[in-house]
Amino acid sequence: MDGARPDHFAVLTQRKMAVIDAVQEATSRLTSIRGKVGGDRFVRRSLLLPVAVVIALLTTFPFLFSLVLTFTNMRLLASSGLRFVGFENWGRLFADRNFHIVLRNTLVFVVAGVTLQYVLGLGLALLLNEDIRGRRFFRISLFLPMMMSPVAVSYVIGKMLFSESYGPINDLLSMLGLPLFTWTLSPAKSMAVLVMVDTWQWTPFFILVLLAGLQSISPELYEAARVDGATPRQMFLYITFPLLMPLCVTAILIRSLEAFKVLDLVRVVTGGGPGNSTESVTLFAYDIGLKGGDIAYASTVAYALLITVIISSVVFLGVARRITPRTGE
Amino acid sequence: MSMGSFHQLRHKSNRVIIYAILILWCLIIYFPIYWTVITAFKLPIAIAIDVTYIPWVDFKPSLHAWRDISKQHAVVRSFVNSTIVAVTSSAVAVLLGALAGFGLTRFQYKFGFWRNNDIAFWFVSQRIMPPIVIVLAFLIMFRPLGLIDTRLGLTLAYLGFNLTLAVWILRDFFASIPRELEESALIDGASWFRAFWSITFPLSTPGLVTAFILCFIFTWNEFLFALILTFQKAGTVPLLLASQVTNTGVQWWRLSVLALMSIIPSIICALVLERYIVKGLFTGGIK
Repeated sequence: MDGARPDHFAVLTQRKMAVIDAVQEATSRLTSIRGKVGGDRFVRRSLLLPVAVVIALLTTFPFLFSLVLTFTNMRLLASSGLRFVGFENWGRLFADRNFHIVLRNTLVFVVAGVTLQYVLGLGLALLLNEDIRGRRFFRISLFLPMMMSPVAVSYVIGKMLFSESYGPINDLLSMLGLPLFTWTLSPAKSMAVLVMVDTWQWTPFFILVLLAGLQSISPELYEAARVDGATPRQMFLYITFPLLMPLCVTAILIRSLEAFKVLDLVRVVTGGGPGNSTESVTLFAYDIGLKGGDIAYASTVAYALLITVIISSVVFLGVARRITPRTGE
Repeated sequence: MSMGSFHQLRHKSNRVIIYAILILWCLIIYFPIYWTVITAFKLPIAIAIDVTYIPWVDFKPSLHAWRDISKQHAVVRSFVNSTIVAVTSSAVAVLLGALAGFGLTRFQYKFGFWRNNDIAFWFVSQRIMPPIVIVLAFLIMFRPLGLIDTRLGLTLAYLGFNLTLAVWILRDFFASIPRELEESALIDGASWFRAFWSITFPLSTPGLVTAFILCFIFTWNEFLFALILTFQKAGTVPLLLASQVTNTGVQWWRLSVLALMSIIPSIICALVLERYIVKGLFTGGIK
């Protein structure tokens, strides 16, 4: 046994030397490779070129083209007599009472829906973060609504389940002896149905994102707090909530950007009614552009939506930054 | 193991409440799906007479609606259109997005005063825009090109939107793969392309699958573009569903069949994605 030791040692030393040599050689080659690859401008640029061309042609160009349209009198059918009209469409927009109504409807829909989804999502994420059985099942159940077509969801929940005379919700309410939920003639209740359908579909988004955030908070923080005698409420207020806050802000922002665009849900469930009390800005622009044929004014409405979205995001981020508690991590 | 944040919740009674809430939530999620399934097997007369809940007990299931649907040419056409448009635009978006994502994480670019982050911001910021802004422009631009109501036109319209999503996901994903792995392949004498093809590409499969599925689902479900850029020939599934809702009133049996058929791809995607999304997408970006 003793005789084997020096041999073993020698082999080890040899191997170590070989490794060191290899590393040295590698380092020198690496420097030359980095130089070579970094210098191959054609390869580098051709990686970005296709995306840049496609995005420039298919989003940036139409985006600017619509802006130009808002200063013209472009119509869907009569193409003769196209001319620039300055700020005429914008002036008309500010005076348009219907636009004010649909803008208010959209803001109510976004604020009510996203708030409800956020509160429910945070609560359910906290529950799912506990050590529970069947987590995978619950997680798949969460994915489902988000993946479905909003048109199908709107139809199934808004039209079938909430149907006043043939739907199971009113049937169950009457079985329990409760008053029926009649909503089609009430602006507020119609909006509530839209918000409920949206909440069914999108609360899972908050659960998923916030659950991922909760799971990335280190358990040691809670251990330390527990040693210091913190109550569960204090732990939530001083550890969980502040650490989760940036993610909450991002999630709310992403979801609001989506909610501002709503069209399919409104079109299928209420058609904007009763009257135009639940009509969204996108549906309004669609009706003006496609049914009324006034593309120029429809583009102006669409741009006004974009401006609203940007202003709302900036205000929201400003407020969020101010109220975010600072953590002394 | 335990990640519990409140020891209060450790108590048994609280655990019961947790399960009760979660099960209630699952009921809320699954009841509409269950309702769609049973409605798809009801006879028109059964829907008009009474609200019924349990097949074979409350009502006799029937294949009436399925036979009815299978006779419609518009249904087959919509599904073919949706599949072709969604697969093509997502595949091209993921392919191009992967190139850009790889480039943006591996090399330093400089175009004038634009650096990598500015380029990435330009790509991704397009998603803030409400689609109604560009779809009206598409309507005017596509008309002289003969692209209205064609699958090609619709695919192009979706490609721009899908690309921004693909770049967003894949850039994050490539950033999480250490570039040392490629460098070690280069050192061993592999060509630059080979290093990408046999090292980075296999490692990024979860990212590519995630990006493809999210693009596919977005396109499959999208309504506004299809509504404005197609009429009959190139119409997609959501358009078919929506037109049946508004045109035919309460033909629930047929609509339920269509709704079910339209969410089957969504269910498959949810099952596939559940594996990948937990691993990478969200947790990677958050830490």
